[in-house]
Amino acid sequence: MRLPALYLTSIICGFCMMALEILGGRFIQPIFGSSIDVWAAIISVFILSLSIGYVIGGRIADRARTNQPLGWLIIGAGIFYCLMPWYGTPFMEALGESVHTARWGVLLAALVLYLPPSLLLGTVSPILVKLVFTGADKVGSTTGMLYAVGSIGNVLGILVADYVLLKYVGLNANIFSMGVILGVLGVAHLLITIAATSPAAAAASQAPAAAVAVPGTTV
Amino acid sequence: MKAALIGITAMVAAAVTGYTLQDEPYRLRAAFQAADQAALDHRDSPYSNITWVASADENYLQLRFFDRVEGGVCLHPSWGELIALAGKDPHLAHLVPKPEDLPKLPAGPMWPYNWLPDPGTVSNSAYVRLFPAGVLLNQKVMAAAGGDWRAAAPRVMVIGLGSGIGIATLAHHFPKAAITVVDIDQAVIDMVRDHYPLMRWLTTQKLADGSPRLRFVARDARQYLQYDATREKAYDLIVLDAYTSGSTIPPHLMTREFFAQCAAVLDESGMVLANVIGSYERDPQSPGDKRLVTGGAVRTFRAAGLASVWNFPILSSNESPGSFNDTHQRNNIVIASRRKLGPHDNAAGWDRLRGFTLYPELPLGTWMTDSYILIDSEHSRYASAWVPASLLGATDAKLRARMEPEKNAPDAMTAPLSRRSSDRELMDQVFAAVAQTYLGHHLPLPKGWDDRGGANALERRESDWVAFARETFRVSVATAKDSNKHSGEALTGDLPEGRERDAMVPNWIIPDAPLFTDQMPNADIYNN
Repeated sequence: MRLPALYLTSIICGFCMMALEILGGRFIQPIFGSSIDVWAAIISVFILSLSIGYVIGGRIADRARTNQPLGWLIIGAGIFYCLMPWYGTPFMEALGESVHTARWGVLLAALVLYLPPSLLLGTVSPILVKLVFTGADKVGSTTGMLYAVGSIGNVLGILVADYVLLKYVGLNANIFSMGVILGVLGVAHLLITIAATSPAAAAASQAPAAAVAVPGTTV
Repeated sequence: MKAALIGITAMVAAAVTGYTLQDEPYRLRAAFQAADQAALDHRDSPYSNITWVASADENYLQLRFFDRVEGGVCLHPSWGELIALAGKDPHLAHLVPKPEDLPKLPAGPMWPYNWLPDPGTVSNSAYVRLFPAGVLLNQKVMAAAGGDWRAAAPRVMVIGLGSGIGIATLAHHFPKAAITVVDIDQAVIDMVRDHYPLMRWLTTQKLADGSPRLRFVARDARQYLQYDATREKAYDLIVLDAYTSGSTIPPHLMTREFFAQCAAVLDESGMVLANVIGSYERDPQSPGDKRLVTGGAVRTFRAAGLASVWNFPILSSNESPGSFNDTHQRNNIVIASRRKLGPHDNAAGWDRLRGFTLYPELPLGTWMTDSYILIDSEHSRYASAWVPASLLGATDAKLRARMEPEKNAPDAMTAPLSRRSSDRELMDQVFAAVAQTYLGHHLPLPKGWDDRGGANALERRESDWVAFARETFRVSVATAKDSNKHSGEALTGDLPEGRERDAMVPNWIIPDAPLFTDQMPNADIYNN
């Protein structure tokens, strides 16, 4: 059960991340339009937050003994998702009034709105790498599988958001529901403890996690 | 376990907060617009969020993308009023349905549930009033009609539907036109067909050759031009009016390759007419550089083989050809053709433009609106939103009597009629009346009416919508005719040597005008 649970976590986080990227464009459009600047801002912010998230997540992973920090980080992301329908539009409207260059306005909006939740989701991958790690002999296949699953979550997030969610569910409800799902996932990680393989075993396996390429950035 | 409880608590608190305090779906902040909420409930397009907004006070019905106006139709004269007028003027007969042909309205809840607007053909957006120029300048179509525009039978393609008012304007003036509308969004087509009865009816009407007067195609314009239009009869006019939110042109619809596709389906003497939002000169107070959009459109047309280009800048009501502000961002009607377009080469065409009257059958003085606006006269800018004078009740008549009609330059528009005043006491009275009316209805004040700080003058505008339309056409044509200053050559700095070149060189040449290609389709970037 341990691996499927961790893969499920990866797929849900990957889904929510990319769905937010797609929906995030529509969320910004009423204020800042739909030009290429909007997509440049959103994509750059998501990739930037992943990069920061990987560093932070990696450090947390080094110290983590169980999946508890993972639970907290996912709950954190869920909280941002849940609150975004509240502060998102008023914030952007205020920004639209005060920042007159659309290009900087939309970049600032994307930074404030999307950096925190996607950064928190970015920390998930390195921690999952530590949790799926059971021994040096399987490190390649387990982390590879983890990334593959996470990327499938990304793809589903993009396509389901575009083909299904946009059509049938309002933006607020969409983002809010993903927040609730993340919250449930996070709480589940707090309730069900998954212990990382012991540090001694990890040391013996020549620290495989360090050289792993970034997962989940395929846009 | 304790951690899980804290986690659950935090999550539930966030969920409750986010859910209960969530920002409502977009709501209009303007007041006194009919059936706002019902219209907003109709936002059902998966492609973009579109709604109809009606204001009887200000005489408009607008198709909007959130708060951005996508097109405006005057509510009056309504189609019903045009039909009534047709009894007196047979020239309007082509707009009169047989009783059995009256549009069947779709089943189910109607917008706005208790009232269906019945707009006619008079435009609330200024640039649309220039659309007929694309037919009047066409020597071949007009010659075939013996010079009578009512007999002209152009094949027209309109790319970008909006509210449909441009099509209504064309259908009003050219009863025999065959119009094909290409729009990427089926939802927009549905909105127009379901809530603009005249449009719905036009799709059922047939021309002498059996083709419909109006048909809608839900497709990307590039695809339609490439795969479908090439197999049809050549077009006499292609109107480019596709915009995304705000003033952004879809970049793939303003490239050399796209214009070449247009040229490929155009008749030899046909033309492309494009609505281009841009300026002639950089506005030092604005961050963008919209002159590059205007210049880029002109240069790109010329590069695509539509070598003769002429621009009709759409003047606003306080401008005249003599006071033309070249830094002002405005709608421009850019017309491009293989045939020479200029006043010297196409004198007959320009005579037709000069002699043309929009909506000649409609009486003046019948469909009027009055509004107030605050002005920052130091920077000659409007500092507030328009407020209908009718909201001020009896106060309005008293205030009006105290405001002198503004004296316009001799070549300026005579409609609408403006009255300006910087009388402090008068401004205070209007300010108080607006506050009282809106706050009395528990409505937020319209933009600019909560603080008079930036305003130092007041304008009262009386608009006769038919006269306004005629004047926009007349003054914009008069401006464009001004020597050669609005030709493609003049705008992009390629005036030929000799020919009194120096006298013709305008001060707004755009020598760095970009060429938009499929490799660099950047009309949207400059348009931000």
